[in-house]
Amino acid sequence: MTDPVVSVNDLRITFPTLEGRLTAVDGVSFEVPAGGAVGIVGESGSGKSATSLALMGLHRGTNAEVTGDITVTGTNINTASDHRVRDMRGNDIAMVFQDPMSSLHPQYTIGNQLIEAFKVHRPGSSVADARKRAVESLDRVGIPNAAQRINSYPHEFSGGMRQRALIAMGLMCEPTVLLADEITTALDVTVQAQILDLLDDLRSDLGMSLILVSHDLAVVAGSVDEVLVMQTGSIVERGDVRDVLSSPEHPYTKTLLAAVPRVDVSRAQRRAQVREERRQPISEEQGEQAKRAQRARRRADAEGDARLGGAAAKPEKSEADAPLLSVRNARMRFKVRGGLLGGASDFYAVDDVSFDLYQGETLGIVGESGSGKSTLSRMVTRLLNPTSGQIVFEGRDITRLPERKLRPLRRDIQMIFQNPYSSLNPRVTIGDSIGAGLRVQGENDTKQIQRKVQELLERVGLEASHYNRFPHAFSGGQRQRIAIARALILRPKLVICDEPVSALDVSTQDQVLRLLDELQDDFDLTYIFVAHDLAVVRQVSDRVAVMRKGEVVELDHSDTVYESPRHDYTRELLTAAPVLDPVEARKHRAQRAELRRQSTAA
Amino acid sequence: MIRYILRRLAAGVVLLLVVTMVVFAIFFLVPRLAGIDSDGLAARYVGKSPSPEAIAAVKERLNLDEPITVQYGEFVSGLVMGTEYDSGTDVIHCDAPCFGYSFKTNTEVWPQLVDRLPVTGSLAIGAAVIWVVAGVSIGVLSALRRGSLLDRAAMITALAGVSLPIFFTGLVSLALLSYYWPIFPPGGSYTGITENPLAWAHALVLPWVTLAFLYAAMYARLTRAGMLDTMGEDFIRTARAKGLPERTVVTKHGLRAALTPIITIFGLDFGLMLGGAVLTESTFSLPGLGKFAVDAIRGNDLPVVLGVTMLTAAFVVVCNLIVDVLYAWVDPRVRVGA
Repeated sequence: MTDPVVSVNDLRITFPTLEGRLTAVDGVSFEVPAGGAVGIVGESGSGKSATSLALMGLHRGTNAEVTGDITVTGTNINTASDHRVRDMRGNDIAMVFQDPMSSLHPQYTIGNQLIEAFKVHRPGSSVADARKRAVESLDRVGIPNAAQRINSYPHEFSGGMRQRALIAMGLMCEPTVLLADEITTALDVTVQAQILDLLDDLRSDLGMSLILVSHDLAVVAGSVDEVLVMQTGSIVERGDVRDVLSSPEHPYTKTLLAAVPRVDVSRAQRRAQVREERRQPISEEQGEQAKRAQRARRRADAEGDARLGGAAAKPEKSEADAPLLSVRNARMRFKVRGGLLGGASDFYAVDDVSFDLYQGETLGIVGESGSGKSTLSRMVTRLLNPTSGQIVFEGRDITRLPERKLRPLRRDIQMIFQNPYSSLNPRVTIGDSIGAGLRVQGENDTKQIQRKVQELLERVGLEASHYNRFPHAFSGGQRQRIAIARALILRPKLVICDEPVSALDVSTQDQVLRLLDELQDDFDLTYIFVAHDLAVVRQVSDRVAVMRKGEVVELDHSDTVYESPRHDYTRELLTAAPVLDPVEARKHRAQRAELRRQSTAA
Repeated sequence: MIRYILRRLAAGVVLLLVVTMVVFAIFFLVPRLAGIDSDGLAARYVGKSPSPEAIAAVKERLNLDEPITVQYGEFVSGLVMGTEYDSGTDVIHCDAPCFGYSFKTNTEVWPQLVDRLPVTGSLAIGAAVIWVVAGVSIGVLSALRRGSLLDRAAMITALAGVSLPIFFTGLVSLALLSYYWPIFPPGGSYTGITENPLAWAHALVLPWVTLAFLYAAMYARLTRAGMLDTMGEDFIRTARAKGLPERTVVTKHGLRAALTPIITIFGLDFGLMLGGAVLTESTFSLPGLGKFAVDAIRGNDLPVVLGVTMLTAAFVVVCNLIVDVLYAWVDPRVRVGA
């Protein structure tokens, strides 16, 4: 057996903070064999990104303290000179970063950035050679018309193409090791599948070693041989990916696995499972607030069971009544500038969409970016005015209602937004943020507002004492809880969740989804749940609408959509969804390859 | 790209037209709204001791009895095509762009403006070179060595530069470097660059440095803040991960992004300065546009004030236009967005 290309021994990384040194990585050791693939999985804060930066020597010049041995292709990164480490970066070990939006320089062409990566390690080469290499590299990652697109700027590429361009950049010098840090987190499922397939191909074609870092076990399942699970700076479990996923030993791995939303678990199954867990006695540390929440749930459970005879039957029952919301032939037109003569062309972001939504149900809207799902949800809340069509809420046509008359209705329709980092004003305390809705609706008694807000804070799993804190003091999951409280303070009837969990780690995602589920029971809420993640949508939705290019291609009960999809596009989405079983994942990969072959042949 | 430039050019022309309206309104409409009739208005133009004949002549010349729209039309056509004044005995031609006559010297305003432009231009260009080079490089160094002695010293100096007025720094530098140690010529000495480039530069060193000190201080702070932001960006990490030397990371990737907003501000500052660096020119007694304007205001010589105002506005508009075009070149995202 040959020597491993990467070997990490007792790696320890600490950062100075106001409260003393924070240990981000605590005694991590692992090896990556030549041509092998290793997955590093953990939540944010588990130290996985700090570890990958250390492999590149990118902690140099920062105040992080790195100890232990990191050997990459025979060189000790920790003791080598700056010059030596620079020579290795991109040449022996290349890193592909997450968030392709910000990882490319906006002011240089893609080609310029690729050529630069080549020329720095091959000083003797001509620009023509470097250019040729860049075109090859872009071509290799599947950018069509590489020879022309090399002159494009990053903003002229879609998210998926930018991620490909970043991978192409990593491939410029044919490194021995490719280090991919959360590279699919910001991408749609189909694009995610394409990128993971690409990495797999590259590995087998070029004999590269791959280190795949992600918070999502399902992402690494089909792409690596060995997986390391990290928690708070240490590796808690490691082993062959099949073993770890089929029979996890460490409780943390089990939690992570359980948290991964699965396309093959229906809403009824999940509800049953969640209810089962809720009925179990509350342990000590969960405390008073959880008990109160549980009482509320019990009430709701009893009510729900009596009324519906089981959760799965919910939608059938409600359809007898008049719909809460009814959208008829809604269209949204945007003018797109451009074209040689500066003429605007019409673009329909939402094109002739109709659906009914009943009290107490959840309608999932799933689709990729650009499918019009966010536009649709904004039209329902009248944040955007539909170009044509009708939106009827509780029997009242609100399509053309002026803002003044709409304001009382805002109480009934609320939204939860995607990015919990940017959708809260950083200069306003969360108490004020949440209470603002009450104030706008005419509540003037500050004491009363504070009391209501604090009650709700406890209900969404935060503490009443958080009232005067600012958003930066909270984690992503907590911020999303704040966003939920902000939406619920007015006791709305309809809540539109626009990608509420896509910015969160899987385990946090699971908690937030559970909370949304509980709140639906307790407050008798109706949800429109917009997301690109099929598995998440399945778990929360009674019915699912699949959107593509502004149209709803399929709308049915969620089990029907997932188990016997009628539209080709739905099928395509489903094969792209990541699955936990490594064997299954490889099967899906083969299927996708087959689909691609067919489409190129056709 | 051509379309973009044309569109910005058209916008620039419209903007200039709006500027003429505003300036015209300030000098002709506002006094009238304040209750001053055409005689009173004409009296202001005549000077200290108005005789009825002089007032009548001015009224005639400026069409003060005509409706305001006609007056504006005459004003603009004078600017664009030139105009003729009938003084009774003979007809005087005032070539385009006609800003009228100075009452002090009884000469056309425009040639006088043109005479003074090289002085202001020399001052502005020289100072701009100094402040951009010094300000940006100090800002970059400060950002890279954040918290170091150099950073702190530079930022304290910059604070002093921003807060000390030019008539203080200018006078102190004149007192020390011209009177006490006669290294540089005293204020008021200006030689054209075509006559004697060395004397030209020698005389301008003090004004340049004084003026540049103020702006360099602002630009250093701006650059520092911009660089601190940029160096934290993800694409900087990408550049490092490629194995680029730190120098390339800083100059090619960091500085390029940080400079973009500075170019915008530079366009405004430089345009404004071409219309006269009032304080510097007054302090060093340089016969530039700024000093010309100040003298005109003192002497109630309204056509001159009007002329300088218009010229300054035109410079700002033109510099902005250049910046907009530059911007499209510097930041490719602007090209599609606009």
